[in-house]
Amino acid sequence: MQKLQRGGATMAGIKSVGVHIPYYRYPRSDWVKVWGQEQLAGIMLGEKAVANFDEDPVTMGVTAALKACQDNPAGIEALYFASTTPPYLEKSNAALTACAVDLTEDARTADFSGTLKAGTSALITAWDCVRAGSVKNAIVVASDIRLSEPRFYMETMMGDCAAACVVGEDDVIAEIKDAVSLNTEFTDVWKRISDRFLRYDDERYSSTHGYLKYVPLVLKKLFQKTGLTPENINRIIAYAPEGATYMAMAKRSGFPQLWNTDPLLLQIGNAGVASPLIQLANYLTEAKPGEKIILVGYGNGADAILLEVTDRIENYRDRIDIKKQLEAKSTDVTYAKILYWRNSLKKNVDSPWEFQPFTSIASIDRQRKYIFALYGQRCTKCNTTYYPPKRVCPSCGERDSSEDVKLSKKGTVYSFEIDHVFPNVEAPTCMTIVDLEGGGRVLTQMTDYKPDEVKVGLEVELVFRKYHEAKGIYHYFWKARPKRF
Amino acid sequence: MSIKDKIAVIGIAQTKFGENFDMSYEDMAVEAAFGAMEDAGVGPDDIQAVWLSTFDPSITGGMGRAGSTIVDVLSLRDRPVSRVTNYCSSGTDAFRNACFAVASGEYDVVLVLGCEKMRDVGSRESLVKGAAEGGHPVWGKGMTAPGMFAMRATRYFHKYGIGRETLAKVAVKNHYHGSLNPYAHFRKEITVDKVLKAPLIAYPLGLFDCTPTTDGAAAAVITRAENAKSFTDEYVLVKGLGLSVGVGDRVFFDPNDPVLNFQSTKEAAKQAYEMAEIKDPRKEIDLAEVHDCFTITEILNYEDLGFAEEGEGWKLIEEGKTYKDGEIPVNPSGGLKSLGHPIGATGVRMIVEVANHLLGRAGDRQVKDAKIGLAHNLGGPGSVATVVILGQP
Repeated sequence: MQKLQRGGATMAGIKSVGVHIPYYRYPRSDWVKVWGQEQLAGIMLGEKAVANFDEDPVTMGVTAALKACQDNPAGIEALYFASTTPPYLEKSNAALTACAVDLTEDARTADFSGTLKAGTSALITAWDCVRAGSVKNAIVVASDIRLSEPRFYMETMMGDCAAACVVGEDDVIAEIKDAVSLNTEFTDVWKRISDRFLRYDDERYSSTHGYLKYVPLVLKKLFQKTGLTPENINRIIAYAPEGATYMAMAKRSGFPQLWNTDPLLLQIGNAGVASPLIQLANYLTEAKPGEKIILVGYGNGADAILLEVTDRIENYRDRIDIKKQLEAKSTDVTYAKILYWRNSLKKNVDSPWEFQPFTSIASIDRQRKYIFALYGQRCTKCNTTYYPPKRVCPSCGERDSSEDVKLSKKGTVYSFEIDHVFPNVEAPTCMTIVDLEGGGRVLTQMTDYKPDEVKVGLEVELVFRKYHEAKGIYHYFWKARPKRF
Repeated sequence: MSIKDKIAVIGIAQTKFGENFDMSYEDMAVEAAFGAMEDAGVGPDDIQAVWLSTFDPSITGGMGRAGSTIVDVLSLRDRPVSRVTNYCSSGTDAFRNACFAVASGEYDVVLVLGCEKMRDVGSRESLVKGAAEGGHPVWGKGMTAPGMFAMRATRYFHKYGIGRETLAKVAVKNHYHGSLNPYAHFRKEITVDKVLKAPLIAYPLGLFDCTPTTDGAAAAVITRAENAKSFTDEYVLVKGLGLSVGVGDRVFFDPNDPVLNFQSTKEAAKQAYEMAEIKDPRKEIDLAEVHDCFTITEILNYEDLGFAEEGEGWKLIEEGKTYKDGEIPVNPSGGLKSLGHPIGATGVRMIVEVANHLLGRAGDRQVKDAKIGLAHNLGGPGSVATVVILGQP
C-alpha cells in the first residue's frame, strides 16, 4: 500500500518545473521529400521542435528557468546548467543563465556537460546539495540544440527544448527518495570541439551495448538499493532517443507497461539532456499523489532517480504549461531555414551577422542588471517607472532620485513597424514599443510571430533571446513574443 | 535682440543632387561654395569664417570631420571654420550659427557649406550600416531611420484611421514637383498605385515613402543686412531662426512619448515665428520646404508647423492643398523625396531653394508671389528640429 507523502521540512525534491518548447515545429515528412528518402517515410513521423534563429541553449534555459521559479528567484542559491551544446565552452553558461534569472552573485553556478545524462546528473547533484544543507534551493536547467549532419536521417530526430526544475526541501511536488548512477567509457554518439555535427558509429552496437545495456542495469541497481520492485513503480520516464529504440528498451526492461507512453518524440523529438526532465514535466500534469516515478538519464552510463509525487501536485499541476506550449506552434519553417538558422549554410563571413555592431564589455558590465535581469528604475519623486536607467528622471528632471525595480515581462504593443532592410539573420525585423505592466516602456524586436499577428494593443511577453554577435560575443536581450495562452 | 532683418543671404548655389558617381566630396564642395561666392560677387579672400555641415565623415574617408576639411577642398586657409553636426538638421544649424556670428558684428562675410557624399560606398554601407553598428550594444538594436518614422505612421493610422494611400499622395506630389526641378535625384512622376506596389522598407513605409541615398552640396554666403546692397541687389533677409532639441536616441523608451508629432519642430517653429512676427503660418507663409525624409513625416510637419491642426495634417494632402499652386505650397522643390537627402547638405539646399523662389528664380516650379518662405529640418528623428524663415527685403 502506498503511503501518501505530505510536504514537510525534511523532504528534499522537486518543488516546481518549467519548460520551453520552441514555437517552430518541422514536419518530418518534409525531410523525406527534400532528400527523396521515401523508404524512410515510415519512421519520419510527427514533428521536431526547432529553435528560432535567435535561440540557443542559454535562451531556452533561461525561459524554462523563469517558468520554473515564476520569475521570482528568491531563495535559489545554486544554478546548474546542463547541455551537450552550450553556446560557450569557456565562459559559464550557468552564470549567464543565473544573471538573467536574477540570482545573486552568492549563488553557486556550475556547467554540466559532456554527455546526455548531464541533465539527470545535475539533478542528483542539486538534490545532494540541498540534502546536505549547502544550499536552500537549487535550480537545474537542462537545454540542448543538437545537430546531426545534413542528409543523415538523425538530423530530424533531434528536437530543441529546455526544461528546468527547482529543488528544495519545502513544498515539494515530487520528493526525490533515492538516486543511483553508473558510468562507463563508451563511444556511441559523440562530438569533439573540432566537430560541428554529432558522430555515430554502429547504431546497432550503440543500442545493444549502450542504451539497451545500461538502462536496465541502472534500474536493477536502483531496485537493489531501495529494495523496491517493478510492482512498486507507477512510471518509468527515461531519455528517449527515437521511437524504435525506445520501444525496444521498454520491452527489454521486462515491464514495458511502466514506461512513459508519450516520450514526446512526435511533438519535440530527441530532447537531449532535457529529455528526462521535459517528459517528467509533461507527466506531472496528470500524475496522482503517491505515484512512484523512476527518472532515467542515459549517456556514458546512466542515472536513475526515484521520485514520489506528493499531494501538492494537485494544486500545482495547472502551472505546468507544457501542453499549451505543445499546441501553440507554427509549422511555417522549411528545411533550408533550419540549416540557415543553425548556420549550416556556407557563406563568405563566419558570423551570420554581416556587420559588426558596436559593443563594449565594460559598458554592458555596468548595465548588467538592467540588460540581463531587466531591472528598470522608478523615480521616488514622481513615481514614474522608466527604462533604461537614467541619472536624471525623464519625467520630472530630478537627479539621482530613482530606485532599481524589476520590470514585468508582460506588456502590450504601443506601436510597431516591420523593417525589411535591417541586416538581421532573419528578415524582416519587427520592432515594437511595449508598455510593460506596472510601468516601463521598452523598444525591442518581436520574435516567434506571424507578420499579420502584430497589432497595436497586442499582448506580449518578453523572452530572453540572442540579439546578435559582436566581437565573438553573443549579445542577449529581451524580445517581445505574442502571448498565446 | 531679434535676428529679424539683420542678416542677408547674398549668394546661393547647389549642385545636382543624385548618385553623383563622377563627383567627389571635393568636387561638390567646390561647385557649391564657389557658385555661392560668385552669386554673391565675392571671392575666397572675402570669406572671413565658414560653417561646414557634413553628417557622416566615416564614409568619405574623413572629409567633413572637422573645419580643416575646408582647407582640404577649397584651399581657404587661416580663418575660423566650425563643423556642425546635428543629424539631419546640420545644414540649417550651421546656417543659424553663421547668422548669429555675423549679427554679432564679429564677421562681415561668412560662407555656409553643406556637403554630403553618401555614394562612395554602397547604399547599405551608410545608413544601414550605421543602424546595425551604431548605438548601444543592445538597446534599440534593429531600429533604422525608416523604422523610426514607421513607428509613428503606425500610431497615426491607429489614431486617425488613415492608411498607406494617404501617405502615397505625399510621394506623388513631391515626385511631380521633382519632375520640374533640374537638381532633383528623381525626376519622374509616379502614381499612388506604384507607391503601394513598391517593396516594403519598414512597414507601413515602402520604397516610395522614403527618401533615397543621395550625394549633394549647397552653399550660401551671408552678410549683415545693411551691407547687402554693396554686394548685390538680389538678396533675401533672414526673418526668423529656431532650433529645439527634444527627445533623444532613446525616444521609444520614454513612457511619456506619444510616438506621433514632434515637439522639437513645434518649439523651433515657435521661436522662428516669434522672431519673424508670424501669427498665422498657414496664411502668412508662401512656401515651405519641410523635412519629408518619409511621407508620414511631411504630414506630421504640416501639423507641427501650424499649417494644420493636430490630427488633421492628412487632410491637407488629401485635398491637394500643398501643391506648388495650392493654398500652402509645401516642398515645391520635390522635397527630400525626390531631391534626395545628402544629410549635411539638405538644410542649406532648402535655404537656397526658398531664396530662389523669393528671388523669382525657381523656373518651372516657381511659387507665385513668394514673399515669405520657410525651411524646416528634423533630425535624429525628432531630436533636433530647425526652422529658418526667409523673406524679401
